[in-house]
Amino acid sequence: MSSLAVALTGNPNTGKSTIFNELTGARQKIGNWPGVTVDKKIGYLSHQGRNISVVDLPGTYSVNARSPEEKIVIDYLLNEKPDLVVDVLDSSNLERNLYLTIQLLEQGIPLLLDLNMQDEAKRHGIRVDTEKLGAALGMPVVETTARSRSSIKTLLDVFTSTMMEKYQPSEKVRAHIARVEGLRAGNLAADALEEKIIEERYAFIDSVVSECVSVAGASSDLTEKIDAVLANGWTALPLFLVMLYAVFQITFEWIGQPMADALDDFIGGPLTESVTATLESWEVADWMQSLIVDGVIGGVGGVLTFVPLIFVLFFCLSFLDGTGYMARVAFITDPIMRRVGLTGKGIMPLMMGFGCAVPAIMGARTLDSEKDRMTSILVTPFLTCGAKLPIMALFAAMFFPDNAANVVFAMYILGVIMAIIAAKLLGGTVFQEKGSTFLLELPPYRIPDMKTVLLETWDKGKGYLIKAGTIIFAMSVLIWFLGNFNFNGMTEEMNESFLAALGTGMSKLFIFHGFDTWEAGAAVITGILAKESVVSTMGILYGVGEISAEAEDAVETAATLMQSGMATAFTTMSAVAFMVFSQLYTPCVTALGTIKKETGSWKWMGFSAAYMFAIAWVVSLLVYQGGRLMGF
Amino acid sequence: MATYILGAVLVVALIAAGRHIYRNFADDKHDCCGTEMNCTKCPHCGK
Repeated sequence: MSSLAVALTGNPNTGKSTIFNELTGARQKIGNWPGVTVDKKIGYLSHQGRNISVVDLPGTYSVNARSPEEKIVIDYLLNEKPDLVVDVLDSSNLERNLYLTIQLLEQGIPLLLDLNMQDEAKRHGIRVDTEKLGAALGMPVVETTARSRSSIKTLLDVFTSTMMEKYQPSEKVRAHIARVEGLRAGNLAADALEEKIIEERYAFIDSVVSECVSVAGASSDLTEKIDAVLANGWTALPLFLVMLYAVFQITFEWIGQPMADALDDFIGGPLTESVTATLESWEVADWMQSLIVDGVIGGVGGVLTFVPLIFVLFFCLSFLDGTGYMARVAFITDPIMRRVGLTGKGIMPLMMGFGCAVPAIMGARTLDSEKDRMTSILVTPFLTCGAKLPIMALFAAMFFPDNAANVVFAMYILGVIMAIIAAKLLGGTVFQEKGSTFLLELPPYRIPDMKTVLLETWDKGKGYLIKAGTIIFAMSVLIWFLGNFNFNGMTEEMNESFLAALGTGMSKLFIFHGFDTWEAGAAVITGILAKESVVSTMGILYGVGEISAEAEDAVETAATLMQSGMATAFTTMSAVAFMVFSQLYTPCVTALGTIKKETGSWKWMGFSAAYMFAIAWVVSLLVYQGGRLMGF
Repeated sequence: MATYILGAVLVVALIAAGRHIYRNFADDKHDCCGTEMNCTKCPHCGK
């Protein structure tokens, strides 16, 4: 069988990834924000006796080779020379999309133009005369709607039947290229030359669009109407905060928390009781009972309790992403991001940080300038990742049962504020290079595809289940061992254990913070290995202690022994100080490893670990001592 | 006897967990990232 190498290129949000998925059957993240596909992805299929390889190139608005995406696209197309380059265009926004097309034609790259999103174009009353467009550019044109099976079949037929050698740029294109070359040969300064070339390109595009595109009875545009409110200069930011607040209410009050409470009741009640009864009936040794009940169930169960919150939160964020709203967040936050020396584009990797710092740090590759990238990498871990969420949820439910959602929301906001302050400080001191500009296309609002939303929720949430069964399980056993053994063997007194010795050492740093207990010190240490371990450590250490008289009242409201133990160890203010510290301190080892990999420097990794610990220590101290001064 | 059996089960589970953690490290994968791919081929993050 003969083979055919196809490359898909085009602007972001043109449905390119959807076409790729439909063609190759591969599943890939289909998001609405720019830079989801940062590098090429290859899929394979057979059609009409030909083996076809399809490369999904990063979405880009131009090929000036300024950003990594642009460089990847132009390098690939010029060096690899695929048999067929498919330029996927959003038919409802042809003027913008043709800018990349004309740049590629200027580079002498023949293109198959795929006028995608025909359904969107029709809704907007836009009609493109494909014959005239093909004649104007001298290139073949095909129309598709990415999710339609028949469109994909048509596209495949076109792939195998189109002989690109037959096509030459039209007279109109050749005249445009001659004009651009004339400008380049002149004596214009670099900035003025670039401006003139851009003007020339848009003049060309205007003439093509006026020839080929007609707008019949423009229908009322729902997206514009919604944007008039949601992306309006005055209302956008308040509404964004309201939207986030609603997500937190759904997660921590209305849906997620009741599910988490039910799971907590089950794990702390029937499950623990039945396992204990079974182990006793089997006459299992006391130490093994302790390991299973206090270590494994206390540690892993303590983390599993929060899985419903994580799934509900990710569902809400994926749903908002699916509507097209999240793409507006870059636009909405651009003025704030610019004040700290970044651009709105930088908000996208940061938003990923609410899930996990690791992909967020890697996602910073999509940023154009080195300053933006380094700043993003160093401030992302301040945000509340999914692994910190159980810490916040545990303390908020324990110490602020009536305002848990508000307290967790406040911690998220604290993380964002600290990230902004750190970005500003880093931008003004360490990284002083000028930031970049960015071009963002806002996709239309859509009813989210529930299958995609649920798949994304599962993809993000399942990691926590896997972690609970692997690293948290292993950590729980280790913590149980360290908490029950010392150099003389097994000890009845946990405060004479290895863990107590380690925790006591760490706790000396927090004598002014109100949480200078060895248990809190031990949780801080294990939290550096994995943030979920803070909760599992609490579960193991406080889940086995004697319930003091002081904690008896708390037992009435708190479902578990862990919470009653915590009630004696923390005051309200020291609990807040601990939450603040946990929110801001050193990233987990995985995130630190990623920082090392992305910056290529041990120095930046060490800097990240040290400066975040120092900031967390100072802010937590200020919160605790400030609260005490105010009489809390 | 039950203690020994449970101990053996726990050891097997710990070995499996350790193997998973080591493989993640060796293959450059991260559970919480939400993808089965290794990071060098991941479309979420690039390279």
